Amino acid sequence: MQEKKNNDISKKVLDKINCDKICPTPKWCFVCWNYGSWFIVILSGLIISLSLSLMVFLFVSHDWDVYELESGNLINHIIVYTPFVWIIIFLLFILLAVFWFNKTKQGYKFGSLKSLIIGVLLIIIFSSIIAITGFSAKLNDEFRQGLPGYKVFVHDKCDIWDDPVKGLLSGKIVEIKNNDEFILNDFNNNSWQVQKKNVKITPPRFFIKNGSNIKMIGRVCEICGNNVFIVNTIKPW
Amino acid sequence: MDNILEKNDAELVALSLKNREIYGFLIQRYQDKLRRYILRIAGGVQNDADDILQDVFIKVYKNLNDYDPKLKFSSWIYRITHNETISFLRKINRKPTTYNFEIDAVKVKTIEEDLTLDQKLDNAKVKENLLKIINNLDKKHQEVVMLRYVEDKDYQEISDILKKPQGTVATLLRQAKFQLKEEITKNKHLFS
Repeated sequence: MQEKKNNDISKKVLDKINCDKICPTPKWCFVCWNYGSWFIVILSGLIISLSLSLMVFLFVSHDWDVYELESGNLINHIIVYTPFVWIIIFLLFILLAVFWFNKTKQGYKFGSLKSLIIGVLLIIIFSSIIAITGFSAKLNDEFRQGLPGYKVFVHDKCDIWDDPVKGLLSGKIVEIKNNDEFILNDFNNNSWQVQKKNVKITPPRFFIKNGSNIKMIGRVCEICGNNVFIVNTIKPW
Repeated sequence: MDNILEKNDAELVALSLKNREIYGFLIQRYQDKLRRYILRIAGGVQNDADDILQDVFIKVYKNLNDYDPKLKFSSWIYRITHNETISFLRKINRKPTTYNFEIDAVKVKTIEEDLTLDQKLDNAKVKENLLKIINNLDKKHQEVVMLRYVEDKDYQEISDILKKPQGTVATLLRQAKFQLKEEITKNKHLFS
């Protein structure tokens, strides 16, 4: 009885294969699928590293001590300057990488802890390379200039130091007139006449020269004329 | 024909890709084991077991090119069967709460050896009590216990079937064995 049933199954399956003209899926499809899965995992890993390096760059390059001049409220300042977009991208791509890693043929063979340690190490190495080579800073600048909406969601130190009314100004020195005065173009390309008397330069060994990018704390001198800034602290950009 | 029956699974896969009729030999080789496996992991689907089995063999045929000879064919086909059965249960909105072990299929000898028990689990009543304890394990532990002590699979095969790392399989089995041993020791009177 059972033997008859078995033959039935075998016959049924072969009949269905013949009737429906079922063919084995070509090998290249499986190869592509597996390589595709690994490609997504690697790409996600790179994006995770990139977002991590950008988060670190934005955090480290940020001048947390000037929040009093900028908004006066530390919590508000942290909320505004936390790069939520990069944090979301970071978390989303972690999920994507884990999902596709499990879809690869070999993924399940690695233990969770082993995969986690290897993954974290690789991400730290890649994000360090990206940060050390200055690529994260460059990329942030490129995004600010070329990606519409980026400035709205990701605030960095350019936003802090672009508020002369609050005494915060930054830009490039284009001409040193004398010991007490130089001309600076801010990052929006406005020209400023900067007067420096009893100025504090940090670090003390930093020399101001033509072409240097700097940030300054001071005040706008309205009675001195248009775009005149009296500076009391100068820091390298 | 006799020659074909002597071929191993990987060779039959290669031949089936050239001649679909040869696939019938692979079906015959696995249909009994897989039907039993389906009934064990999806108790109460007797009427549907053959439909699931048929779907399994169609799926296996479609995916023959995906078979990696580095893996045991039996692990690969068990994995597909496992996934198809779970999909079927999901489709009919039913979760298998416990697996269906038949006591005669349980490799009692292996359990005795693995658990290094003092007593023998050899009479029918004792075996029945053992089955009750196994059925009281949670699903993830039952799953590995079944593959180890009913399907007689080793750690590597269980890892390949369930797509879980070998370390995880070893941990699950260790926990299951610990629970089994504890229950057997606690209820010594039922096992003497």
